[in-house]
Amino acid sequence: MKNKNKKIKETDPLGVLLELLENQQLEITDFSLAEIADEYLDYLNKFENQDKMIENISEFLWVASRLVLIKSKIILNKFGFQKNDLSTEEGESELKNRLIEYKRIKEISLELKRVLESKKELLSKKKSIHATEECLTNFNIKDLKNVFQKIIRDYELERKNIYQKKEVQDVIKIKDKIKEISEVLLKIKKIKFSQLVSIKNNKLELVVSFLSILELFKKGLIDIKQQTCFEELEVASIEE
Amino acid sequence: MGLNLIKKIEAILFLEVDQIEITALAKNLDVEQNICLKEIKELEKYYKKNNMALTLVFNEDQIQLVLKPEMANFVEKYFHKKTKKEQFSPAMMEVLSIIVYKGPIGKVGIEKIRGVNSDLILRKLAIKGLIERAEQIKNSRIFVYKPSLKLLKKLGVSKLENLSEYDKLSSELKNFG
Repeated sequence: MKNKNKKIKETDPLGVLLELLENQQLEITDFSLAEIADEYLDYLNKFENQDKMIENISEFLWVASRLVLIKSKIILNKFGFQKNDLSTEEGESELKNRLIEYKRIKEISLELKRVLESKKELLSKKKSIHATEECLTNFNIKDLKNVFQKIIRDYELERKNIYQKKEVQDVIKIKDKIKEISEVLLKIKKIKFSQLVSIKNNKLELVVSFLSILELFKKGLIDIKQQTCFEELEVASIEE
Repeated sequence: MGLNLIKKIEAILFLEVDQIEITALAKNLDVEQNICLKEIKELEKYYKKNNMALTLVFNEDQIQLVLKPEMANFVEKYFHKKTKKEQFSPAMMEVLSIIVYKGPIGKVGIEKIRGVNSDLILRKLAIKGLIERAEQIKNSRIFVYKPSLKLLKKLGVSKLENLSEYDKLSSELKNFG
């Protein structure tokens, strides 16, 4: 066999098989497929193009199994088994047909590529980007100045904010807050939600406190009441 | 001479940058679709007979006014425009060929022929605008891919059937089932 050690360029299951056949100038027949089966299995074993093969591994195995099937039938034939004795599997001729079709597609695609790159395009009008008069109505130089000043202002503000954010904030844990609330409720049976938040205008503590009472409510340890919408929440401990 | 239908159609085709759907055009001009189509064909015939630079490209319901393929080189020279050479990988060409000669065809059909997942390539081709996705007529949950008008323009044919050996190749491929 010549060219046996030629490096295979293709990486897809059918492509590899076609290339193996081509290297040995074999037509697509049962006999040649049987002949090539070992080489195909060799290729799979070498696992050279791993990353490309792995995604198509099931297809590779499908092709390999069909090749083995075809080969074993031919060998059995030699030993005098009649074709009729062997039930014909669907996949047998399917592989051959698929190979023939895929080979044709490859040939046709080369021709199509030639046509596509021959630069005999049918050209049409291109979109041109043009500012229409409409964009420029109600516009004067003062607006431009205002917009620019606003951008500068926003930028300054943004910069300040960045520095502020860098200040380290005390972290309030829900766990701690729950403990704190429980202790408070042991002493006083009823308390307003706002009284649970020690520091005024601290969003973080407010949120943590709220999450804490939700957790306690879920566990059935406290009762929450609210007379009407947006009114103060009343937190009460549940008597056991 | 008044504004006859063919003139109106030519005017719209001239100004429109994108492809036009014949159904929409007919509706807009308040005429029957087949009458509209007849006039469009008439226009195409006129360009051909009088050896003009223009022609029309047809893709199902879509049409566009374009320059004949032999104009491409000259026009590019005049506008000093170098069109970037697009790169088409072998895999892209395979999928494109399947869609051109066997389309409309679903993802499953394409992958059955190639034996490999073709999602990425279909997406690439769709982004380039070379293929279109449509709902299958029988089952609207399944998508099928077909050539776009832009692809026909790139291939330099005014309709799919004008590709050399189109009928022969497409019936050959369709025989594979």
